[in-house]
Amino acid sequence: MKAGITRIKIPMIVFATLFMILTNFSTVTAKEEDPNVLVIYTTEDGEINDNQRYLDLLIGHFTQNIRFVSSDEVTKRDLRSVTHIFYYGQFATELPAKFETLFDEFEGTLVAVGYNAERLGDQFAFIEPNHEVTVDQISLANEEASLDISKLYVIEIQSSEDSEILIKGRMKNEDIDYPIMVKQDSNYYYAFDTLDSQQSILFAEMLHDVFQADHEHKYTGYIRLEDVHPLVDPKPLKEIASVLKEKDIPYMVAVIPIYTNESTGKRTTFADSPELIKVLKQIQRDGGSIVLHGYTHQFRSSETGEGFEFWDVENNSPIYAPEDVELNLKDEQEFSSRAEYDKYISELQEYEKEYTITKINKGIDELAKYGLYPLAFEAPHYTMSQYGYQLVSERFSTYVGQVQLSDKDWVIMDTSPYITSPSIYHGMQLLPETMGYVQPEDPHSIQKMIDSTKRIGMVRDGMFAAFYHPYLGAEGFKKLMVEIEKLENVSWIDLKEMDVWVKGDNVSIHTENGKIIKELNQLKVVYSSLDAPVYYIGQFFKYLAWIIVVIGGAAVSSFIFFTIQSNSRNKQVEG
Amino acid sequence: MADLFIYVSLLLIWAMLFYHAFLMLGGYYHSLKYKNYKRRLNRLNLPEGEYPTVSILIPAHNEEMVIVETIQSMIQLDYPKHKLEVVIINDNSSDQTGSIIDKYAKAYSYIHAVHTKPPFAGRGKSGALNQGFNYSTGEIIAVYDADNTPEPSAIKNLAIGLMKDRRAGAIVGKFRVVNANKNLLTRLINIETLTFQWLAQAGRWLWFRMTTIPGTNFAIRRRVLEELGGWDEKALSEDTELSIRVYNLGYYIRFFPEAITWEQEPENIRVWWRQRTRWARGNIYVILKYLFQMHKLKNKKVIIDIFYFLFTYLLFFGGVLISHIIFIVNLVHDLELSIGVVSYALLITGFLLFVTEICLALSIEQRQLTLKNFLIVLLMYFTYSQLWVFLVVRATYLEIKRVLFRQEITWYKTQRFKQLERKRNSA
Repeated sequence: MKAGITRIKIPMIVFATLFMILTNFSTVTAKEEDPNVLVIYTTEDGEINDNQRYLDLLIGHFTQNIRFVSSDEVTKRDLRSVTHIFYYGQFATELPAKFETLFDEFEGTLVAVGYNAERLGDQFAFIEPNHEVTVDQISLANEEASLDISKLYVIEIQSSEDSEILIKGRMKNEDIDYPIMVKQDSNYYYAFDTLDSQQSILFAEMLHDVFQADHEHKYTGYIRLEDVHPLVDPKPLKEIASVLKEKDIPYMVAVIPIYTNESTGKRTTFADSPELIKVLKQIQRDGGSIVLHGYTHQFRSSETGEGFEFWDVENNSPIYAPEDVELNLKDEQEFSSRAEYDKYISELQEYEKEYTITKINKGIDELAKYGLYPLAFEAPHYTMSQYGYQLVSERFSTYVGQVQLSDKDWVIMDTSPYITSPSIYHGMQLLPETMGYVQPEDPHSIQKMIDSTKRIGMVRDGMFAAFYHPYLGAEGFKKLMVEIEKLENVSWIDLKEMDVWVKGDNVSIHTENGKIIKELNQLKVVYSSLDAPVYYIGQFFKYLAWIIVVIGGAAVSSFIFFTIQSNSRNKQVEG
Repeated sequence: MADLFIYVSLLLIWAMLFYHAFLMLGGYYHSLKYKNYKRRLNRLNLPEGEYPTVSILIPAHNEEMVIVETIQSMIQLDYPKHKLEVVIINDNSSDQTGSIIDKYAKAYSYIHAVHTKPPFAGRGKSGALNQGFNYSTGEIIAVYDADNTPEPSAIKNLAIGLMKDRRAGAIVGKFRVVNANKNLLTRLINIETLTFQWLAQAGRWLWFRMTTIPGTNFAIRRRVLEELGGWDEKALSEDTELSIRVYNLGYYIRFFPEAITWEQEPENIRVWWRQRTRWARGNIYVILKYLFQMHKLKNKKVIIDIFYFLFTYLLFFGGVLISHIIFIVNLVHDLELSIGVVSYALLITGFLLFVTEICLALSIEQRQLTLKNFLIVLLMYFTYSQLWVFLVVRATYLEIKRVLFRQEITWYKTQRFKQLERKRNSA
């Protein structure tokens, strides 16, 4: 008997072990299968700039394994286990001699962007760059649809017969086609020397070919209600929420927990607007998700919703000093060595770190106090330094909006056409906003928003994302929705249905099967100030007050009844 | 912050309103129940010889205007006169009171005159009562104010009630207002006293077996009074104070509305103000005297009453005061109160509760729930009741001052009014 049991057991154990190995193996391979991307860049100052960062946004759609190295510093070692190499030559220059043989043993996919492709070795023998030309229209080689762009330089190339043109461009009035993206085997060339959302939409689509990613042709989208702070009128917000609920469209609400008055400096919290909390909580229960839109949406004395919070606009720099301290930002040239400059910046970043983390934690706490749980972050005016994104990425899994691509100027800002996890986001996912918002002073603003989807729709899995300020009223929103609902093949993002997490110092939030799971340090969150306890006492009291009214009413009616009874009894006695 | 104040004050006010509603409910049930008790008492009517000896104490200080009628009503009492002793204490009167009493004392053997002499003269009601008590011999001591005219059956009802209830240390009858229809003020007071008796007295009796001795038309066992050492001469409201000591001895005080007396109420606001200030101060005195030695009280039930006083005089009026202040400040300067619409609902419900409670109390008495009285009740909320707020503030201020500066108590004797015509409606 004993032997029999053992015999049954052995295959069981073998099977179980095998199963475990298999499942383990599959998770490991899944990671290994993620493309491993190396971006080699040639820029005038040897640093990456907004163009490379934009490339990062595009590649981040396919993989999180992205490394950047300058053409001066790259070695063969950097190529180890890399599956895809992008070379981005932003200006025409001689490349180091090593490039002649750098890719000789490389068997993966090579993509060259911009200048210097002819210096990358045999793989790019299929093209011959000439001088620059301008184009104002681009289209996929095998499709009719074309996209008008503002006039831009491209590098004119001659491509060999056996290569395939993927994207072509033209000057509309000249009637000449130029190859823009060309492919031979697993080598690709892209002829624009700049990358931004304007012209790289087709490139973004063709990257699916580069990465052999067979993504489904289906758009995603979201609607975000913007700048909801404690002084926002809850009425239109409530109306808009009910419109969306009726249509069963999930959405986001970007919430600023503290309103600061510009002239008086008076801070208003949600405790002052119980009605708004009620509406927001209902939104959170229904299809809406809360997005933390800063803590006060201001830095220095500006009005909430107007000011920047994570960018010092006066100095056009990251927030390197308290608002009342004058900042004289030094240039790198003022330092004797690079190391000293780096040290200077890292000291400034210490303040930025403290400032940013404090604001984010306070923001999360302030919402959690009233039972609102943010599932994503959106920087006010989308402005934030690269270091800021890193700090946010440690606390939020998901970022909503557009991306500031430079630490030198907040105006340099762009958005990817699809969901992405670029390396500058350190694992955080970007849900890009792509359509803009309704501007009441512009009568064509809704049409412009819808027009932008034509461009984004050229990517198979593009993102249609717009936002709306609820204070403009529910009517305007309904008008917008009429147009938005005409968009086809779109699935609307529900943050609660995604795997998102938030890790504040005192509050942790994550989603599970469409539910918000939260853990919070009550003592530090709710009782950190008097506002919330007073609010909760007030809520409790209002509830109690209605109970009092009901009991009081019952007492009143019974007294009336007894009075009538007693009065008629007296009359009987007299009678 | 203003929100917090509003919540606290509303909670205090409503705790009190609900307690009163609860008492009124009890009062109403008692009005239905006590008639059975009366029938049972009648069945057990005492044989002539078993009536206890009763001493009626009537303190009188300058009461020439009313004392004759009071004495007349004593003469008309339906009680074996050889068991009765009417002791009228002429307390330092400067008018004809003394000689009127003497005249009657000569004519009726059971009427006795006691004249207080300095240094024991003019020291207030408690002092006079103590002197009368020392003089008296009855097993049962009854007390009437000099402006009272009890109905003939009053003493009999009090005495039988006490005889038939061993656990009652004292028994309290009902008083009615003789000059109820004189003017608006006396109408208001009439409504107030009827409500007080059915709500506070009958209600507390029904739920807790507690009644407060009202200072007139009550009877107490000599034994009990002796054990307690008489009245507290420092107390401004000697009746409340005595009540608490009676409870503390382990007795209860029965409320028996069958024993009825008619008394005169102030006819002008100045007299009313003085009299009520004295009561309020007296009750605050009781709070101060017992609040911090509650653990020493043997009968823990008394705590209900002390808390009731504490609630009424400090917390309830405090709450009303806070909500009034917030209301007024909010008119001038927006306090951004978040309470919202429910505050109106509370206000209206509170007002309706006030009106219906009083109407129920009035309906228990014959011919009191009239349209006129109903309209006066509506008015009462906004006038008479609000006067009480100021009165309590002043009384509290005076009591605090007295305690802080160790002042002597001054007894404001209530001024009497000559009644030309009397209308009685006995229940």
